[in-house]
Amino acid sequence: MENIYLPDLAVIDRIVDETHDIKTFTLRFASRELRKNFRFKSGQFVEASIFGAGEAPFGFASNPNHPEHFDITVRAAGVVTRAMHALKPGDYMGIRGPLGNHFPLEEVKGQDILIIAGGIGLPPLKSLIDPMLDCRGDFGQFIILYGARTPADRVYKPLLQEWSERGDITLLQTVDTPDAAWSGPVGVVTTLFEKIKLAVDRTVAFTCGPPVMIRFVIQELLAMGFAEERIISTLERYMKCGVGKCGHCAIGHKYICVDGPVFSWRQIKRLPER
Amino acid sequence: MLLEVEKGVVLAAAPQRDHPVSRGTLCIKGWNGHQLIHHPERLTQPLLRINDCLKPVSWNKALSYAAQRITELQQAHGRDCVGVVGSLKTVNEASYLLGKLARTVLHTPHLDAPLRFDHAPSLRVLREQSGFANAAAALADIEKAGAILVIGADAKAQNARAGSLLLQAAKRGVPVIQVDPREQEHSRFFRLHLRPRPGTDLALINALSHILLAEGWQAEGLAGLAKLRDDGLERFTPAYAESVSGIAQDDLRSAAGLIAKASSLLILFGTGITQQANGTANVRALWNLALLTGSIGREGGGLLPLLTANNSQGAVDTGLMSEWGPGQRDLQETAVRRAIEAAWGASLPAEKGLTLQEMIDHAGGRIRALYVVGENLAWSAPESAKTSAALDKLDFLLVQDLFLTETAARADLVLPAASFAEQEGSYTSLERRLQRVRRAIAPLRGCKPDLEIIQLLAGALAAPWPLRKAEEVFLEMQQLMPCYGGISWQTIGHPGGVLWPAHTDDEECTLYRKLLGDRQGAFTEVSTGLPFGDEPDADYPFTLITGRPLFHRRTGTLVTRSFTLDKEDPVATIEINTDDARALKLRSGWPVIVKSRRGEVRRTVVVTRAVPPGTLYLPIHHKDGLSQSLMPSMLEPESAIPQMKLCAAKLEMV
Amino acid sequence: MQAGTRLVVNKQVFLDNLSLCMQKMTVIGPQKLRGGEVTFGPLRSLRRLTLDYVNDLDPLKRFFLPQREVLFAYDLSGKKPRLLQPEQEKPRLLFGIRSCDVQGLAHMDGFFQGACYDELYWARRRNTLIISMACNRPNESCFCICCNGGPWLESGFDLQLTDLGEEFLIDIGSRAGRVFLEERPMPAVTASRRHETRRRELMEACDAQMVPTAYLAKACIQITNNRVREELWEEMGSECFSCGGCTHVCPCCTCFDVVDCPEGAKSGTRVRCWDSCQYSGFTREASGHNPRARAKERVKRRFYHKLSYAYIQQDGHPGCVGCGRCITVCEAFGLLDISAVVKRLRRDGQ
Ligand SMILES: Cc1cc2nc3c(=O)[nH]c(=O)nc-3n(C[C@H](O)[C@H](O)[C@H](O)COP(=O)(O)OP(=O)(O)OC[C@H]3O[C@@H](n4cnc5c(N)ncnc54)[C@H](O)[C@@H]3O)c2cc1C
Ligand code: SF4
Ligand code: SF4
Ligand code: FES
Repeated sequence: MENIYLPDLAVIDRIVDETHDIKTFTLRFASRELRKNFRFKSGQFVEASIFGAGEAPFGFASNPNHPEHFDITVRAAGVVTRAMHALKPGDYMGIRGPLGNHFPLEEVKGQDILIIAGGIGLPPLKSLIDPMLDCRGDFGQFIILYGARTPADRVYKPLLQEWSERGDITLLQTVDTPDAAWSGPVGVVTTLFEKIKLAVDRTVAFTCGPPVMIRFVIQELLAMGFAEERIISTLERYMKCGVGKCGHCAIGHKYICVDGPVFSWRQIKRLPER
Repeated sequence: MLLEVEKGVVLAAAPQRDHPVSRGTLCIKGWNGHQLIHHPERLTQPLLRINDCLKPVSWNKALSYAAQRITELQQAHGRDCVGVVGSLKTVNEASYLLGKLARTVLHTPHLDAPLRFDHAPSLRVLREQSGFANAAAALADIEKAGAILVIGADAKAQNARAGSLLLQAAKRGVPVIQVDPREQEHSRFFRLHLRPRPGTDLALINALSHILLAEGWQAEGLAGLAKLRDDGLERFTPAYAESVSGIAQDDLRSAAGLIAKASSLLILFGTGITQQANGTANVRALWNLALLTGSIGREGGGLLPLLTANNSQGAVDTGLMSEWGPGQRDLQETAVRRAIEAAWGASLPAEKGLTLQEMIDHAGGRIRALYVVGENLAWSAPESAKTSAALDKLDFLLVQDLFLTETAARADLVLPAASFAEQEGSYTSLERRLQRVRRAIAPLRGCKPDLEIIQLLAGALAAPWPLRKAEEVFLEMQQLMPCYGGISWQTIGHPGGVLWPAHTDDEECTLYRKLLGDRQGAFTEVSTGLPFGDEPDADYPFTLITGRPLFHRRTGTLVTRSFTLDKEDPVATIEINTDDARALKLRSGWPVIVKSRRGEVRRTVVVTRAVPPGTLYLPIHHKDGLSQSLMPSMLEPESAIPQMKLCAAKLEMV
Repeated sequence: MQAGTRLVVNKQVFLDNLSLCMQKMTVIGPQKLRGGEVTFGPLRSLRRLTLDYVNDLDPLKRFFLPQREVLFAYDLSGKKPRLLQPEQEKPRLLFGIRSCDVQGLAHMDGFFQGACYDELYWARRRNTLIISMACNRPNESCFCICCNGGPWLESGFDLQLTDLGEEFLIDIGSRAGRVFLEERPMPAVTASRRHETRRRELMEACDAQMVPTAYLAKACIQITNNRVREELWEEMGSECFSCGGCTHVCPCCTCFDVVDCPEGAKSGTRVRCWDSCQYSGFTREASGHNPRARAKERVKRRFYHKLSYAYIQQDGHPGCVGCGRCITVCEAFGLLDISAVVKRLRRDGQ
């Protein structure tokens, strides 16, 4: 039996500066065997360690169809994340994962897809969008709404460009505070809803972002007539162990690290302390 | 508290069921404070400033350097150019020897303990009136009190044991009257909550006495009533008190009524009333009130100042306060001086010493060198900017601590001390409970217990002090401390130790009566009160009060080094009344700059009805600016305590 | 010898054998401290062992989930970090553990197995022989009879002893327990009718000492259906000192924190240590947002975990074995321990 708290070593292949406080790390396991056998699913997460600083959870931010290496996109928020931002390519991190449940990718084939992301909420959704776009034909209408504080605070700017140039998906972006170069919409992400047309009974909505944003998004979706199980969100809680033991992430009798982080609104609604 | 040890590592703390005070409980600090013992930031080598950088050196080098610098400075500026600041956390034996070192080896009168900043007025008045500089009640009195007055203290946050007994009393139906501008968590369980304007407690307390006297509700057989009335109480009519404090006369009367009906009155008080311009006057007024109800020396009655550190009382008893020697004896009395000089075989400095704030104020002038044991002055003293500048002006700053505190970081030499788990000795709790602590583990490699460091330093200063163990030092200090008489090293090793003076019967509550003998005590003067000295005006419209949150023990040095405790209180906040917040268009969670006439700090707003309009409540915190940097350092005239409880302030948007 | 049959062994003979074990394994048992308090710890001889004790206030879960435990050590001196697993401990024998703590272990066993199997816990568990002592001396706060936590148990131990004065009556609870008896020169006889009667008398005497104070069932329903007035939670939250004592001493509480403890720049350990859902730092997120910022929500959480059907279904029983420790340690004395809360909920529901 192995120690579930013991991380595996992974090497940083590449670091991309996304914004002034967000970086994307491309990682590869040090062990060849792990590299060969490692698989993950959209929406799952890892516990990433900086030895001496601690461990913190991050959603996968890359395509599960290419598990030889994977990305995490990290905002410098505290002790661990700041330590990560000081790393260089070639440095090591500890990784435990994949952890948690995943987005229902197979189950929603044939449906229209609506993705609503806010700020640092886009990376985990990217692990869903990427494989969906690999088989674009399996889905109907495909809409991505993305809101950020400022244009500079948006992550994956080249990719956003690429998506907006694709003819087969709709990408709408908004910012709270525009800069001189910004010509797009201004306002919170929910203001984009009026710009799109949906068939609510054929659409599944996925959302990830700051808790307040998620709250408003869900309110709007319900008002638009979305069925509770067609709204899929992630819950974020203070996490420590990631394996259902430390108790920190519990809401009611659910452990977000094991039973989540992905939940439908129908499930979230039933939790005793939302 | 029991510590669990495995392979030299303290793993855990566990409570003791047999302990008469804790009875199996521990506060959050008790459960988690042990984490600091093995904290990675513990100092394990002496650090010497070389080219403005602290570099590790050997103990030998450190001690001889310290001795050399102190001797040089004393030769150049006179022996009293050295000041010594004691610790409220270390063992009695170390405190006693520190006092002896200061007064004989260094031969300086300038010795004081940080208790100056909390309870100098309480100790002064109690000693004046009763002969003893300590609580005139025990914790167990809370369980027997007829009525309880809690004033200027948040018992729940500052002393969980007292808070627990208080809550139990309130739940049993004992009338608890709380006087505090701010609403606390437990306020809802108390019978009455009076919320005076900050700094107006004197009028309120005296008005209670006034009503008792006017109604003839005082205890029987008291002498000096007429004088008390005519010499001051008279003017503290309920109407006057209402005009000053804002408390309705009817509320004052109901409070007085509750007190009058009760069999005894226990008064719990804290820094809320001592760190003021009227600090000493307030405690005097409390003494008179307690005496009027006949509660002094009575079971379930008396005065209980909530001392905050674990060995505050020990620091007083062993002689760390500037005015008193070992055994709380007055050093200005010739007989006392003679006795101590004879026992120590050395002469004592003749003049009166400077108090703690005065030493800081004279740093770089009369005071050239400061030896600070276990106190983070840079955080605990008011007007932080001024304090830090003062510390920098010293020719030699010697700090003995577990961590590189902000004070230690300014030092010329830092000596790494051992934690509570690594020392032998005794502590004295706020109710004069003398208890032994046993070493749970050997001192971390490179650290030494305070007791040993002080003796080594004395040796380096050429004093012929043999290296002695705690027990031997205890026996010596007992000779000079009548209050610790009749207590053996063995008995203080039992759970709960011994309450001094040593007693044979088990009635702990009546102890104070025994201590007082037949003296009921006499009334003391009624001061008219001073304005608080840092009044609000158009520029600084708010009155700001500070308080210590649940998770902080004094300066947070120890608490921030326990990861569990540090997590408890990561955000520095400021509380503002709902109406004021609306007027200023402020919301909870927003950042603001809090400014006083001395400095500014950044805080996160908490909008609440717990503070009255016009008042800001600033929990003591260190992140984003030290709370103390706002507070004034001018001294209350009688007890030399800085008036650091309140000041005028304003808020600015970030 | 068969599992299920009870045996009788002379007490001194048993203890002498225990003493022999001390050379090969760590024997942990109840011992008197200088102050007179009894606590469990490693024994080097029989000298400090005591059989006259009420249970340790410090819960025995600490021998399986220590208050501070190294998860692994790291060494960063090379190019590639090296991670070192903690060493295996010597086999241990836990002697004299009370029934409620044995039940507590059963609770923890359930929690630490499953998909995320906690090997660190189980290594200690497998490594330790449990010889429990049926409880003929309950503490005044004990109420295990209300929670299936004792005073006598049917299972969960390797051996369960009943102190009959001169002899120990032994229930065998596992193969390991049987092997332990067989491997040692201990003349054992099958329990006679007289022994069984004495055992029953002791059980009854013990039951009689315990006032059944905590009727959990109704509180479970109230909590499950959220039928407790918010004001009552509000009041209890105000009372709470957030000292965390209740969860520290509870044999059913398992929450922990994980932190890195560097020793210099190049090496250190990652440790876990007990944490408490009663602390506000327990759920505070990096953003400062705290879903359980108030003591009210935390007290509610504690009882939801202990008494809601959602958890009872998962665990098979409520999260309380009736050891009574939270009654002793609660800083809000008599107000927020489980038996007080159960009573208050019941009264509130009427
Ligand atoms: C399932 C999940 C997925 C996440 N995915 C991402 C992501 O893709 N990108 C990203 O930038 N951030 C993500 N986060 C948030 C990220 O984990 C926190 O910002 C991070 O833990 C902060 O750690 P710190 O040590 O730098 O901060 P500190 O404030 O110093 O935190 C100290 C400790 O608190 C814990 N902690 C603090 N906040 C949180 C939190 N919100 N959730 C969980 N644990 C916390 C960490 O374990 C850390 O060890 C995710 C969180 C969760 C729960
Ligand atoms: S809830 Fe209290 S009585 Fe029940 S097992 Fe836990 S500590 Fe013991
Ligand atoms: S022991 Fe009592 S006071 Fe302490 S956290 Fe638990 S319920 Fe609150
Ligand atoms: S993070 Fe530890 S239980 Fe979920």
